[in-house]
Formats: sequence, C-alpha cells, structure tokens
Amino acid sequence: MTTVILPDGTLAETEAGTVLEILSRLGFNPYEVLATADGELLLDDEFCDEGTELKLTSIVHGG
Amino acid sequence: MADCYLCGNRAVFRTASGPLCAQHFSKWYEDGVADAISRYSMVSPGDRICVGFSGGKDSTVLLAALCRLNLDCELVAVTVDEGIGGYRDDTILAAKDTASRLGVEHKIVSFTDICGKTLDELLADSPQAACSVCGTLRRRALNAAAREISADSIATGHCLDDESQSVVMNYLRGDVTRATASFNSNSADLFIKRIKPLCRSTERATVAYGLCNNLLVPLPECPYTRYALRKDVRAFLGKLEYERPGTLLKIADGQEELLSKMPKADGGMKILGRCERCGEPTANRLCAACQQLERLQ
Repeated sequence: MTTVILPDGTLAETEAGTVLEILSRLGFNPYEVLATADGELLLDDEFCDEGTELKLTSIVHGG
Repeated sequence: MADCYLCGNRAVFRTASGPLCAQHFSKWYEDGVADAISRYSMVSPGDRICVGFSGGKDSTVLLAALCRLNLDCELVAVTVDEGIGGYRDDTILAAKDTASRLGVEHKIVSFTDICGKTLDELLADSPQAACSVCGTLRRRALNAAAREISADSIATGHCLDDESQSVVMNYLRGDVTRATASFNSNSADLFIKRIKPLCRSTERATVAYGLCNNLLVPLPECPYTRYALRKDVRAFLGKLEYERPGTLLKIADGQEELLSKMPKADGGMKILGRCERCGEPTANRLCAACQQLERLQ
C-alpha cells in the first residue's frame, strides 16, 4: 500500500499507482494539489510504488 | 518518470515547453515574474517596495522571488496582524523567520494599531462579515504602513488564478462596471501604486516554486475563510487549466485586450476626495474602512 499524507495532515492508504490515479481515487482535483515524496515534487504521471509515502500540498490559500 | 528537456535531470514540473528539473523550473518561474514586472513597468530603479507579506504561500514566494531577481530597489515586508486567535500567531512566526532568512526588513502592523480592536473583537456579533471587513481593514493597514515607510508601491501576491477568477466572477455576477472598468478616476494621484508581480504565474507553479525551494511551512487555515462563489470558480477554472493548459492566461489576456478596445471613461469620471474621519481617499464622506467600523460599533 501507499501512504498518503493529506493536505490537512491526516493519513490515507491506497494501492500503488500514478500520482494522478491516486489523486483521482482520493477525490482530489489534480490542479489543486501537488505531490511530493522525500521532499521532491512528483509529476502526475509518476508511478508511486508500494511503500512510498506521498505528501499532498494544497495550492489553495485561505487567509 | 520524465527528464528535464534542458539538462536530462529528473523533472519536477511540466511547463508548456516541456518538463523541467527543480533548478530549471525555478529559473523559468523567476523569468516569468521578471517578464510580468517588465511588461507592466511595475518597478523603477531605486523604488522602495512595500511587500504585503502574510507569511502564506503566495506572499512568501513573492518575497523570495523579488529577492532572487536582484531588482534595483529596496524591499520592506509588511505583515498585517488582524488579531485572529489560533491562526495568526503561527503565520507571523513563519513570516518573521522567512524575512530574516531572506535578509529583508520586516514590519508588523496590527488592526489594534489602526482601529483599536482585533478582528475577533470586531466580529464578535457578526462573524459572517469576516472576509469583507478583514479585506477592507487589511487594505487600510497596508496603505498606512506603506505611507509610513515612504514606499513607492505596494506589491501583493495575487497570481494569475486570482486575476482570472475575478474576471469570470465579474461576469457571473453581472457586474458590468467592474468587468469593463468603464470609468476613470483620480485614484492614481491619491493611492500608492499597487503591483502584482505574480499576475502571470499560476497558483500551481507558485506553490511548486515554494516547495522546490523549501520556502513553505505547514500553516493553519484562517478560521473565517468563506470561499462562496470564488471556491466554485476556482475549482472549475482549475479543472480547465489542468485539461487545457493556458486557459487562465487566455482569460487574463482576453480581458486585457477587451479593456484596451473599450472607449475610455464610458461611465464618466469618478472624483475621489478624502475621508472626513481618517483622510484616506474615497468617493464618499467616509471611506470603506470607516463605514465598516461604524457599522460594527
């Protein structure tokens, strides 16, 4: 499984797949979030293997 | 995994020209900001620029990018402390830290300084008015700070998404006056010039730049935020931009071209005077901020 740290800091687990597939599964608008792993930005077509820890950052500001 | 089309290193962001590595993406982003500054003649040599700096993503990137561009100007970062419990303290700490790391002079001005009360105190009985009250008072606070430091201009972190969303929202509200800006005024003589160096950079690229350059720290969201119409427009335009890159720029450029073809002063001349209470520019007896404060007291 791939662990995903959501923009609000909570955790989700999902099957391995591309960033775009994972965002779609978790119900995110792919324009509105950026994914990083080990501090590196990932392109949306990049494949996240089992065991990857993906961190999502919302581009939307609210303040 | 894609490679940077310029150097072959691992790509982190896809632009219209192709995928770029962190280093080339950062250069591409900074070049875009420099182009916007030049396109709209935002900065003159020797300018003192008051940078509206909340400590959030956009204003942090704005301040860092302006520093990297080595413009012939002086930057002063100004943070407005609205007095929002459980929110503003963290962002002010982040702002102080960022300004210090970038070596930029940093000033904090509070709502208490300008009207004697925090936003929380002002909104005790009407929290639904938060964004309207806060926006108006923040503009007042930023204008006051800019005058105090003798700034030539006020730079804000509004990016291409904000500009395009505003264009679409004006049409959705049927606000023809705003959509066509069909009036002239003497406001340029009374207000300190406002500049938006990120106005041709997408929000997505702006946040990506912040992440690539380790500029961003996780911060809480403002508890008063109510997105309303803008939230829907943002989601809709974001989906279009993702599927058809360049949509946001076409909206902004289309609006600019439309305005350039409009007859000037179609709606007459709006003459601004001074607010009789605080001296800020206004077309009325009281400025928007003083009207807001009168309603709340």
